[in-house]
Amino acid sequence: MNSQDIDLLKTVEYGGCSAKLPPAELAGILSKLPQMQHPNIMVDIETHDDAGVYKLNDETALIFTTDFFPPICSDPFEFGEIAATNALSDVYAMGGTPLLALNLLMFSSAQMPISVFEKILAGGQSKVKEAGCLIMGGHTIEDHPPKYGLAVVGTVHPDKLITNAAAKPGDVLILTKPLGIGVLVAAQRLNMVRENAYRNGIEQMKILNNFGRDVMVRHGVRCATDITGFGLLGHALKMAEAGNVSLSIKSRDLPIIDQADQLANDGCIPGASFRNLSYVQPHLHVAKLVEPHLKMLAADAQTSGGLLMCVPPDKVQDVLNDLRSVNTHTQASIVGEVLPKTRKSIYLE
Amino acid sequence: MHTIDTKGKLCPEPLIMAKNGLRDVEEGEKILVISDNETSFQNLMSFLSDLGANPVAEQKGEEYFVEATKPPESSEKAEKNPEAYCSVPGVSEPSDDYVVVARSCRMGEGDEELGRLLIRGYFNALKGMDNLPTHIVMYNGGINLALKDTDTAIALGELEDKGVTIIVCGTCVDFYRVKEKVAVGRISNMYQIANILAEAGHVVYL
Repeated sequence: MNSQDIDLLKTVEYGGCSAKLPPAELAGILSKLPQMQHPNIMVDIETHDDAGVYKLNDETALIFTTDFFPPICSDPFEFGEIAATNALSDVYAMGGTPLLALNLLMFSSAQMPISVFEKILAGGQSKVKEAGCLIMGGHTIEDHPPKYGLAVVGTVHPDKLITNAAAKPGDVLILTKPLGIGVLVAAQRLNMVRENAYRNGIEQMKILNNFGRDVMVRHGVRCATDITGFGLLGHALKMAEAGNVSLSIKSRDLPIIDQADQLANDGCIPGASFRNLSYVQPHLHVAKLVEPHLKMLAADAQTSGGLLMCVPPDKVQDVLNDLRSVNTHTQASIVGEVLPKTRKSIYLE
Repeated sequence: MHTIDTKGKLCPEPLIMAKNGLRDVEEGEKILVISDNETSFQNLMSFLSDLGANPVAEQKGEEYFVEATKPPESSEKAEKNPEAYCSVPGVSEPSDDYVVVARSCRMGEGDEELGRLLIRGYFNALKGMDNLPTHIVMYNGGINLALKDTDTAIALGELEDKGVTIIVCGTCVDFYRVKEKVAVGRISNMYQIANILAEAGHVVYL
C-alpha cells in the first residue's frame, strides 16, 4: 500500500481530543490517587490546569505536559502537525515558552506503510520547529490505529505564570479560535462538509497558540486555559471551579467555524458533545432562549482549540485588537464574563 | 407512522436521520426512531427533547423505540428569535412568556413578617406549576431572597434546576455588600435586567 492512499481518519471512530476518557470518570480515578506535595510545585492536578508547573528558582519555572491521540484527519503529515500543535498549546496556555519535546508514537508497521510513520513525525517536527522548541528523542510502541503526540517541557518566569485559577469577577472572557472542530470532523466522515470548510477547520488546528500567548503576556493577562477535548463548557467549568467564580457565556457571541453551525443544526453532533454536556450539566444553567445547537457547539470537543482568556475590562479592547490584527485570529471574540461564585458555575445565555 | 431505522449507526448519524425525518412530516405528526445502541439512544432522547419533539421511549430487548412529535414551527422560531415568539401564538405551548420580579424580600405591603411568609409560599407554589416564568429578577431588598442560608434560596435553586433563569441585581449586591453571600442566580447588570423586562411577554411584580 502506498502512503498516498492512506486515510488515517478511517482508522478510528473517535479521533483527536474526543478520544479522551469521559471527564467524570477521569476525575473519579484521579481523586483516588494520593496527591504529591512539594514546596516547589506551583500547579498540580488539583486545579485541572493545562500542565504541571515546578519552580526551579526565582527566575524560572518548568512547565511540563503531554498530549497524544489517534488521527483527527486523513493526511499523516497534517496529523503530525495538529498533534504537535495541540501538545505545545498547554505550555502557551500557561504563558510559557516550549523548550524541549519528546515524540510519543504508537504505530503498527504491519498495518501501515513505514512512510506514514515518517510523515507523522515530520509533521510534528515542523510545528515543534516553528515553536522554536527542540525534539530530544521519543518512544514508539507497536499499536494500531496510530496515536501520536508530544511530551513538552517549557519555561516561564514564576511571577508571569498564567493559570486557570486566577479568574476575577468582572473579567471578560475572550476565545481566540472558533468552535466546531468535532462537528466538522464528524461531518467529514459522513461526506456532509464542503471541502473548503473542512480545509479551514484543519488549518485552524494547525495554528500554534504562541500568538495568543504573546498577546496575554503583553497585556498582563493572568488567567487562561486552552480549549480541547472537554469543549468550551468543560474547560470553562474547570476554570470556574479553580478560581471559585461563576462564568456567563453568551451563546450567540460564540465564534463558530464556517459551516459547523449549520451542520450542528442538522443534527451532526458527535457523541463527545453529549458526554461533555452531561459532565457539565449539574453545574450549568442554560437560559430558555439558547438555541440547542449552540449549546451543543459549546460542548463540542475541540482538538488543538484556542485559548480562553480572562481579561480585565480596561484591557479588553487592546487584547481583542491585537488578536484580530493577524489573519490567523480574525474570529477571536468576547464570549462572556466572570461573575462572583453562586450556585451554578456556568450560565449559558 | 414515519419510521427511521438507525440500527447499526453510530452518532451523529442517528441524530441527522431523526432531524431529516422530522422535516419530512407535518407539524404535530409523529415519527418513530429505532436504535440498537444505548449511547445513541440516550443522545437521541436528549437531542429530540432539545428540539421540543417530546420523545417517548420504549425498550424491547436490545432495541429502543423512540416516538417523537414534530413541534409547531413557532417553537423553533422562538429559539431563534424571541420577538417572533411573542407574536406567533404557540399551539401546544403557552403563548406568553413571563418574568417574575421581586422588589423586596416581602410579598405585598403590610405586616413585614406576613410579607416574608407569603413570598416563601409563592416560590414553593411556583415550583409545582407547569407554566414557569422564564426569569425571576431580584433587585433592591429583593436580593435578600437569594442569600445563603435562606429557605428562599433553596426554592430558587430548585426553580433554577427546572430551567428558570434567576437574575440578581449586581449593583444591589455591591450596595448591600453581600457579594460573598449570594447563593443562587446569575449576578447581573442593569442593562441585562432592562432587556429581560423589555422582552418579557408580561411581568409579575411581587
